Amino acid sequence: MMETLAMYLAVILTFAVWSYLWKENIAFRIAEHIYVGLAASYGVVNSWHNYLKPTIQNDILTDGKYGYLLLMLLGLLMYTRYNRRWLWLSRIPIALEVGYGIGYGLAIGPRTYLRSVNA
Amino acid sequence: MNIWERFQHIDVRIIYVVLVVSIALPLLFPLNFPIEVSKETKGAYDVVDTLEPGDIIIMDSAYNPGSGPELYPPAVAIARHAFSKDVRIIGFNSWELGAQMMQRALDAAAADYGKEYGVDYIVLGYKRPLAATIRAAINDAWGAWKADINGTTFDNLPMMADFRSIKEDCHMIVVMNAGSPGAGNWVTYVGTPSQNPGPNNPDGFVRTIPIVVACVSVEISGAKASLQSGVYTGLVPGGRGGAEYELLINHPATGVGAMDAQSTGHLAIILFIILGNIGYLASRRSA
Amino acid sequence: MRKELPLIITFITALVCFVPTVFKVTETDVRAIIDKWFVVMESVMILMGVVNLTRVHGSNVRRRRVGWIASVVCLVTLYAYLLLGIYETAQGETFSWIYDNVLQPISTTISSLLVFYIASAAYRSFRVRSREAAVLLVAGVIVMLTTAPLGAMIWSGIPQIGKWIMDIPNTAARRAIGLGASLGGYAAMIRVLLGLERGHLGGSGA
Repeated sequence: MMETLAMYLAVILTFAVWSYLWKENIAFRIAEHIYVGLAASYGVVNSWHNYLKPTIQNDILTDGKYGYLLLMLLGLLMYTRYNRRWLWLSRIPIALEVGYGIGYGLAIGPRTYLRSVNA
Repeated sequence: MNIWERFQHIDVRIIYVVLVVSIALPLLFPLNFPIEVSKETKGAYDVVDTLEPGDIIIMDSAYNPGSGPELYPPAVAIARHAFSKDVRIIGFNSWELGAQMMQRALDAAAADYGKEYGVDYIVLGYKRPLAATIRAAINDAWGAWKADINGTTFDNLPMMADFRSIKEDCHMIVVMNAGSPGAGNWVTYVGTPSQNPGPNNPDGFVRTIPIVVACVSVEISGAKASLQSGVYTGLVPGGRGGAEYELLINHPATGVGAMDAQSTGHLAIILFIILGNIGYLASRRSA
Repeated sequence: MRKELPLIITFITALVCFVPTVFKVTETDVRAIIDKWFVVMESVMILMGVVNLTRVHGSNVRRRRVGWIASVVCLVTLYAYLLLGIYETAQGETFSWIYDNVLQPISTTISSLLVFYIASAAYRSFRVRSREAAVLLVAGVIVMLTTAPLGAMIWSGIPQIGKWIMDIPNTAARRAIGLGASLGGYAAMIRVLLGLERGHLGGSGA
């Protein structure tokens, strides 16, 4: 029965999305919003089970690497961007990320570039 | 406006319906058009064929379900090829929604060769941030990746006892590339080290790790430039490349089946382009 | 100081990442330590998308804007799937079933909409209006026939011409574009490093 339900669901959702080709309608919008909701939560679930939960359980609680909490606090500063008074704090993790990307990009990127030029 | 001039104003909904019919019919009634294997796909096949039993490779699904029809067939085909040589696979996921796709591909290939999860292959799931986890895994994969897609830590996965770092233990990287992030990250951080470790070479790679890329059709032109310059070691170009790889491993599947639909779909588009040009030339003549 | 501090942080972080990668300055692999720190730091940012969606769609629902019902659907789906996934794992039975039978068909179909738009765009734009347009048309048709097995069945020369087009002029142009884009990227990186570009730090605020 679940297989039949799955098949009907897939067909209904496929036609709901394709209905946009005719004109925009509520069926397409609902299918689109379902997709956005599922996709956003899928990434969170993966990250939680793959990395965050093992890190907290094993590294922090078992191995006692409490320094990781400071790093996590730094990452949590990102959420201050939703408050106008504390928004400036969110620029700190952004600056760290951008600096990290630029540092490695400038150090390693030209090697790939030069290999392409060599061709 | 005569009949010829009308050809340049065909309602797009007619085009959509004809396109759907022209793609759906060959899927239901296969035409079995012959497929010639390209030198790029043969080259990629030969690169994967150099692997030895026991080698560990990373297969990265840098795509989401939208690109699945084009990249899932080569993923399964390459996994089958690797398993046939008793190569072990670590499934990696650069794109969030690609995690399950890699799991499905490896499960499908493993079933044919009696391979066991945890012993012959694992799937890591989506790790973020991508660049930092790849960089960290070059020297310490256990510290960077921690656990697989189910949250099982590596000390409970027998295969990972032989994989501590990318630079020492990884023999090849295969990327199913639908865009960024994807092959570019692997090329930047792993694929372009200096050859020998030394005082002026902080990377300290003991060998260059070959990178084989299966890309979507849109990426083919850029990927060919990378292949020609040696940045990529092998290339499986687009959905057609996946079909060719299936033929090379003597296991035609969904990739080959989709080629008939691709042929008729392209034919439908070309016919509409010709009709549009007939209408345009007719209207110019009457003007 | 609130404006200068992020620029200083960007500069120092970039140097700390750049120098050990290019020069071996210490016995310890500093980069491996930095990489692990960033992995841990970014791991807690996973909820940014969820928070953003909640704010946007929550506001739609609160103010009963046009399409607020779709926003309700989005939020219910978001939190229900999130809680289900936290309770099961990513490989949980119900979680995987929803991925396979809801998320995957929608994702694939949304991508398939491109085919229709490309087909109608090709029909409208591939017209022989000029010499350049004629070259575009002929090259496009030949490459389409090369990619599909049908081309070889029509005439054996089509795949040869198509491969030549892809391997020589197309790859040359793509390489030039790629090199130019890479140079532009490095220039942009250096501008950000020197604090000449501040767009990544956001607009208004304290």
